[in-house]
Amino acid sequence: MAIVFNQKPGLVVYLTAGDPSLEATRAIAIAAIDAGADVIELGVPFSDPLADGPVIQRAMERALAHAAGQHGVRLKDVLQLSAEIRAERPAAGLVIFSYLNPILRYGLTRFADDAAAAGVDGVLVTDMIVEEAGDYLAEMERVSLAPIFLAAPTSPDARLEAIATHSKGFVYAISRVGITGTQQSLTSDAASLVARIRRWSTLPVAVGFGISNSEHVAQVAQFADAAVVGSAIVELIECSTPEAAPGAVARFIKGLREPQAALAR
Amino acid sequence: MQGTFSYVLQDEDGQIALTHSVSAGLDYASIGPEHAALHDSGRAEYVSQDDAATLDAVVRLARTEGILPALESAHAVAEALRIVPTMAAHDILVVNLSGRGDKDMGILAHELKIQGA
Repeated sequence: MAIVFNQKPGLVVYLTAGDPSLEATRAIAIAAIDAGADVIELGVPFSDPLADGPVIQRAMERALAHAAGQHGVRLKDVLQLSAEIRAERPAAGLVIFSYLNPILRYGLTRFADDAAAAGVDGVLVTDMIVEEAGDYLAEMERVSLAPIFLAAPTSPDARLEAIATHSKGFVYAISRVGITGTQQSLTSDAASLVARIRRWSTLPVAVGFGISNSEHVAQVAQFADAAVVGSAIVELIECSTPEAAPGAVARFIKGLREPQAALAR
Repeated sequence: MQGTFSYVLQDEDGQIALTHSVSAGLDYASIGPEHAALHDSGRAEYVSQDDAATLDAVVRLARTEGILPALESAHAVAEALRIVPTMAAHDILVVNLSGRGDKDMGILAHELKIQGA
């Protein structure tokens, strides 16, 4: 249980926990790990997902919708799901991907304890800026969880240095300005951002936002250690039945590392 | 939320609540952190007024003073109308009208069912 990228390029797979159900997410996560995902990011559904595009926003709305008398998916459900995935796949990297408010409401100390107990490796809080992260970093350190921060092409050097030095596990480089979601091609922003991050960190650098096919993954592999694929997989789940989703996601992930597919495109 | 640490309307899981206000500028689940700090330090007291009292305040201020307050500011007028009867004749009450109601004419016409405007 650690964040290790054994293959080149490494693959980080984002899933919105509870879309379409917690049971389905568990099956999809295990299928994704078996298909070659090095790290699974489990997204905590949040009412105001400000870094995310329409695909992930819809997934979160589905996960938060609830039948009469039942809850939508909560942080404690995602921690329980993490423990279940950890029990079945001890070696996979497991990251909780959340917004700050559900964690504040849950209690930072309680969250750190419960995430560590669930066997999580790292935590990525999209709207936790490194300059305000003192308490958060102390809690992550106390329970030996890797705090992962987002680095943007617009981050100035001083902030990038703080992000690079306080991150553990990997540094998450955002490929471009804007929200999550697929795009046609990668801009040159990503490569120069990764080069800047490496000035201050020897950690693996993963590039995300807009990575949706094997062509993008091959491009990212030229300058970074791993690619993060989110919206493309969430959209695939949206278009699949819960029964078919694990197989569809596994095939998609295997295809992401096939350069032939990129050449034939 | 959205880059600030402040009071937020939320459920027990930290999901942000849906809001409604007749005043678009107040139709938001949080408040500015400066207000949160003023509240916590006790330097300001915060109260609430509902849509009906606010609309009534707009109409009364417009008819008695010829001033059309913004719907946001009209909440303060509504609070003034509530506390004025408790005050002595020589007491002075200042209401800060932070904006004009011209921008709210469409909402006012709809809410007050004014036609032919």
